[in-house]
Amino acid sequence: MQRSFLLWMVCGSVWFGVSSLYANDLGVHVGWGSDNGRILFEQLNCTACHADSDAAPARQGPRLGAVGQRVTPQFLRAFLENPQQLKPGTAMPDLLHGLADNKRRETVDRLVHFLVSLGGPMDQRESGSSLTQLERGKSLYHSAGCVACHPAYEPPPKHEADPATAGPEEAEGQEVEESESKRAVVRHGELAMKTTVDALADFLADPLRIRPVGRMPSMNLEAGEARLIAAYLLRDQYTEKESAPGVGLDAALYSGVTNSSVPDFEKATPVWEGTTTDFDLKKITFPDGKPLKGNFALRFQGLIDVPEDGLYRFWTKSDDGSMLYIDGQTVVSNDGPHGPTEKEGSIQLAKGRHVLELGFAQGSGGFELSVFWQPPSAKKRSAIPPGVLLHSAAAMLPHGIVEFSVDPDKAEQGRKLFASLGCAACHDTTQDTTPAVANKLTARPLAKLSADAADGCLGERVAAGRPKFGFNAAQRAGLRAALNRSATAPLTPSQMVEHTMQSYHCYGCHVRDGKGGPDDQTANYFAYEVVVDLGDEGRLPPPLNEVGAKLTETGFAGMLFQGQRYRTYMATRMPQYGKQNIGHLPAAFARADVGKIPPYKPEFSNRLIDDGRQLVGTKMLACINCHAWGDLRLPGAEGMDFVQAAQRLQPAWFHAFLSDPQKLKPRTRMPTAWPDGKSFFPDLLDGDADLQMDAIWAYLSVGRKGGTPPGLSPEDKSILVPTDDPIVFRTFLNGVSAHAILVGYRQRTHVAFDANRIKMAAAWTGDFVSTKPVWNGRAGQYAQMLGSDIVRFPEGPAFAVLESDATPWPEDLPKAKIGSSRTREGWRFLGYRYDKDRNPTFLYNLDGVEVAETPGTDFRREEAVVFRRLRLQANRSKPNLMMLVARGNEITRAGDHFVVDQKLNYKISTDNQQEPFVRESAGAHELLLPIRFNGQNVSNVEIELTW
Amino acid sequence: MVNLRRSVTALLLFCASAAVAQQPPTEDDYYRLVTIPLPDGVVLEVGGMDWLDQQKTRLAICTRRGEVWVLDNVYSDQPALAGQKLKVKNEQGKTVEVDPDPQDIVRFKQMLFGLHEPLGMMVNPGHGYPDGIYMAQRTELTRVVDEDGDDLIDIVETFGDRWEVSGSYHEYAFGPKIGKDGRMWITLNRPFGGGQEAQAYWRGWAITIDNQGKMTPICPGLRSPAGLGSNQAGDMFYTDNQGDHVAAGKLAHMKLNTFQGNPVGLASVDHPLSTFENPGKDYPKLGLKWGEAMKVNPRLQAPTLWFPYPRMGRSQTDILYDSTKGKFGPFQDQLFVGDLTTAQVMRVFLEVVDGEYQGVCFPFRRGFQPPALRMAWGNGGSMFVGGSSRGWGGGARPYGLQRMVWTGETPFEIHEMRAQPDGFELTFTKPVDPATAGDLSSYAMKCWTYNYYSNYGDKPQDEHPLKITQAVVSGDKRAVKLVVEGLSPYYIHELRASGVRSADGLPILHPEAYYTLNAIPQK
Repeated sequence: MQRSFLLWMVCGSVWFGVSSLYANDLGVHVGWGSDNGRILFEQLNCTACHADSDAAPARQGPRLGAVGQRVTPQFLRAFLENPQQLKPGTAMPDLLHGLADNKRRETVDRLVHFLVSLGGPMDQRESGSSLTQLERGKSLYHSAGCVACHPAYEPPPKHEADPATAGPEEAEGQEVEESESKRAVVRHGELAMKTTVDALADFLADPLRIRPVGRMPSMNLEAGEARLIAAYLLRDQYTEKESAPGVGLDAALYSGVTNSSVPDFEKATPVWEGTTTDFDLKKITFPDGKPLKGNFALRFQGLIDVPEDGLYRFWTKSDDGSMLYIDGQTVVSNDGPHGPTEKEGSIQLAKGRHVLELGFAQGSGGFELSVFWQPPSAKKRSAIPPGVLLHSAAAMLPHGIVEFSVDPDKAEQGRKLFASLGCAACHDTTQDTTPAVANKLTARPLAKLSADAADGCLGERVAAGRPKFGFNAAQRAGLRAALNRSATAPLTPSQMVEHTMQSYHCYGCHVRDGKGGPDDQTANYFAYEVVVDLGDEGRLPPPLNEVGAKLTETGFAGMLFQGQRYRTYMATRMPQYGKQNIGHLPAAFARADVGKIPPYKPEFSNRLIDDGRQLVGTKMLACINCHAWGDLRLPGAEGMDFVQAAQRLQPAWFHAFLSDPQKLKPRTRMPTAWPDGKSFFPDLLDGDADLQMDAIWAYLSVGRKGGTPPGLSPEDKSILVPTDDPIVFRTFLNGVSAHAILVGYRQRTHVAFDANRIKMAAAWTGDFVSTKPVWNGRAGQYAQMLGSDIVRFPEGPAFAVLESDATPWPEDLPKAKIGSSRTREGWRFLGYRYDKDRNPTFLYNLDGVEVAETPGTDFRREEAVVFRRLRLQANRSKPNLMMLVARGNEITRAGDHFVVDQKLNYKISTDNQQEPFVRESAGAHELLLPIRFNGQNVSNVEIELTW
Repeated sequence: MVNLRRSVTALLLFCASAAVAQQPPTEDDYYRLVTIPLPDGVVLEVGGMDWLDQQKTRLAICTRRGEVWVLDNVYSDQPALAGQKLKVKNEQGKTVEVDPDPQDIVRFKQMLFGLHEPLGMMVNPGHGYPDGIYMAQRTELTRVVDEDGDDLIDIVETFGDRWEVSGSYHEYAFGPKIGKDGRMWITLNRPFGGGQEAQAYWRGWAITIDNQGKMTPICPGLRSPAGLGSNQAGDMFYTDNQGDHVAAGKLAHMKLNTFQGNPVGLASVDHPLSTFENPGKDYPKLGLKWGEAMKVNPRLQAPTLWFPYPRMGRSQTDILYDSTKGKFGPFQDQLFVGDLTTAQVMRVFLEVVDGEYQGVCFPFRRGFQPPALRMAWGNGGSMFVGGSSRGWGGGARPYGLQRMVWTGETPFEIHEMRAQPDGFELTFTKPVDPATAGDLSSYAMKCWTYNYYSNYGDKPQDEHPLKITQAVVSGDKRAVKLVVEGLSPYYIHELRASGVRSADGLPILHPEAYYTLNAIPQK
């Protein structure tokens, strides 16, 4: 592997060099079209020096507050000497071109001392990496989307031609270099001299922190991913002559050398060697890619970097044997053939790095390995976090390392130069409490500029002291044109969209109105995260033709500013350019795209929610065969989560898309469910296609409250999911009763009845109940109400005969010597009866009053609702019977309903002019309903609780 | 094709018979097992079984998961599921797949879900009880009704809920079964964990509920009474599981105003409904051998018989007396008792001595797939055995259902064992060979007793061999009188009759017997 890697490095360098040849002609890499003067004007921050108005100029250059921590002195020196040479295409002008050589060198030297004093000098010898990490970084760099703007260093992977693509034939045998030359790319410059893996990884994890303009966006990388890409970009630093700690452990896999006991590794030859970030056996496979199996052994070697002095405890759980050594001492001995067995050990360690080795052996049968530790000050044990385990990796050393120490006098001179030369106009040097160096260079205000001046910034011979950019002729022309037209004149929404998309090179990935999109060569770098049958749609960023009429404000925000990954099957991510830079874009899209989708207002009713749920389920359109629903998905269903759809999408676009997917998204895999406007399900909603689409929209618009689609069930199979009929489930329910009867509804609002105290006890929304605590093993636990928003009905009996409105509400009969608290004497629970929809009606007798109570719920968009319909039949006169509906700290009347503690809304309907009232009792508010019977001794009550 | 399969079956049976001549027969030769296949996703943790129809064609099953199922076509010898193929050998000896006959396809229909661990079932019990399916859930005796005959339960009626539940997982309720009093009997497990004391009324009791739903507590002292049932006379027995105060699994007779030995139930004697009066503050006196304990603890009920642990099971369950009138073999009126952990069914013969039942247990049939938690008689000399091992192990499968069918061959077994003033009288299912049956060396006996104390289970105490002085074969060669020296009351008397052969030369299929000799008859 090593040899092939070196070969690859050589090749990479070769065509890196070739493509560099073209750099000088391209001029400054700012305006992607090279000639768009307005973009150049904005992105070069011209107004930082040439004041446009009274507005304080913004500093748009890289923030240099801690530049010494991340850029090497040697790079700073070389770069300041000649920015364009070191990084072709850079927006950094040469400000020293007018100085004599020795003066120029001195100025650079002072500036370097100043810049390095800002947090530096950095430790250039603390980063290491393995070939494996470089390989992984290579693949991530080329698939995550970096190559949309930056050079590709590898030929693209071959993709099966998408059979749905009616495009031109793939050009075969095309050379990478040739294609490379055709597109404008931002070169990396002499990165290998510039920084270290650790520092570059920090930068990649959040580039906008350093470069606020957002032209280097955040790619939503995990910390580990940033390090892989950093290591890859700095691959020229790789040297096996020195070593430095790399993240993760060295691992070696041996086959057929063990009988369940850790072998003598020195006598065996590994079948695979590499690095691993932890002890997860699932991450390791045989060289042929097959999962670990049978007789094998593993050796993990490296360093453990412990944070403090003290006694460290370690645990291993292994099947079969394992041995853990630190600094040559046995810490946990867990060897020999056995099932999953946990052993413990401890060792006194000083803060710092110690040599760690773990041997693992597997004979036959199942296998597992987990390792835990507990540092001296930790309260409990945990997995060993990433970053603590290190291996001795090949060093990644910046090129041209020279010993450097900051000379304070020179640094101070440099600080003054930084102000007077104009550096401070663009660069912010704020550092903790030290304010930024103020700019002392003055230039003509914008209004008084002469674009044609021969010695100005745009001139052929830039005068000494003025910035010399690397403009080519087209750029000069563009800038002049922009200045003559007033570079800050307002733009129409469409112009603004185009302008912004050009500035941030959105066109590198996205097509809009026939413009942009990756060229055929670049397109091939986009890869699947999960292989999925979506064709090119599964790996290429989507077209943006009518995106302003497609996404909602929420959808834009999630995509552009919150780093949401909606298309989880794509390897690339939506870059984050910063709200401060493109915050105007959603509104511009929306205004630019008005009228592109015909207006449409879907019908909405609670009934439609359930029809929509049925439609997306496996018995009807089976949308869930491809789409995830929240965190639930069928095996292989890698499509977008459609619970989010109604938040992301505008209803008119949704309707237009469902009506004819191909029209909006040519070649999409999304099928047409209503061909020629005809439904496959003529019995549902009279087969009305629009109404059926509205039903799906209604269902999606209430999110998870719409209930689980038929055919989906949670990964945790122990959770009972009502998808059609209600589920009645009696169990020991935590916090309610040993006599609980739960009723779960597909609307995802549920109730629990207590058959011991004979009353409705609680209601909640979300998941229903898990059977695990009461079905697994001996099941010595109580079931829990899952989900959230649990509403508990008041303590005490639900009904009571009160002598007066002031009589305190009675309590349940207290528990005797043994036994549980029960409700009133003479009250009996009688059971329940199912109606034709399998909804139960609870039956009970309150000392002569027969009660039938039917719970229920409904689909609602904004709230949860529970109905309690009670029919009371007295077999004798029953005066002064009251129902305790609610109790709270504060109950107020609001129109036709009562509000309890500003959260629960009770609406009470009765058939015998019964007037609910609120009273204060025992420091609380109680909502009471007097029960009045009609001539047949019957009273009907309906309580609607929403929250 | 059908004929082919039938002939294959016949051939297999023929081979089995042929083997009898060469090798000692096994349980399979007399009682074979047919496994009922379960559809995907059906976890049939059988908790109770009964028949929806008098013809016994529709088997209703309640499960620990709270379901009620009805199964049709349960009598097939080659039961299959809808959509399944059967593998059979054709004339060339090749395995081929065929569709099962429609009558071989077991149909499952769920009638109800959501009950709280029902552990017993009776359908249309008569005796003035309204028709319906009765099941004891943890919290109540429930009657459920399918009003319109669509195999979906429409009404779930609380028939009796006056016993209490505190929320311990160990608070199971078993039953109902009907005794000669015409009432439904239910046994209530004691709670477990925590302080292990009762935290709710009537835990550790047997109770009855009459046809008006009224509860009468019968007797305290039960520990983990996983099975109950009557004998032919309608007297009610229950089985208890080894544990605290219970030296080994046992079978005991439930009677008013008796105490079965586990003190948890005594916490309820102050309740107005209690039918048991506590004889004294320090009741019961513990730490004695059972014979001694019986003398100092009034109204303590001695176990009718002990099931020595673990040979005769580790957690005894259901009780079913043989009411098949010979269709299930020669054990009319004897009791069958299941065991969960060892997945076997044992056989019990009881007699009355000095006014109390006592008797003997024999191994009967081992090797069930599901733990043998519940048993029900089917048609044509077959018994359905089902169960769930949840949390306690047992059986080759954690749950399921099998049908045990008598092949029509009578096994050579000790049929009855009766106590005599000076020994025991054995009768056999087939004539004996007088030479071996009369030979003293064909027999071995020993005896032991147990402590009555609070420890969890007990080892045999004072275990010693017994001397058999005579073995007298009756004239009809159906019985043997054993004269034994040193019989001890309240001792378990173990007999091994390994040397005895039948007239046609077979050894006894299960030559061991365990007689709990609470009382020695005077004549």
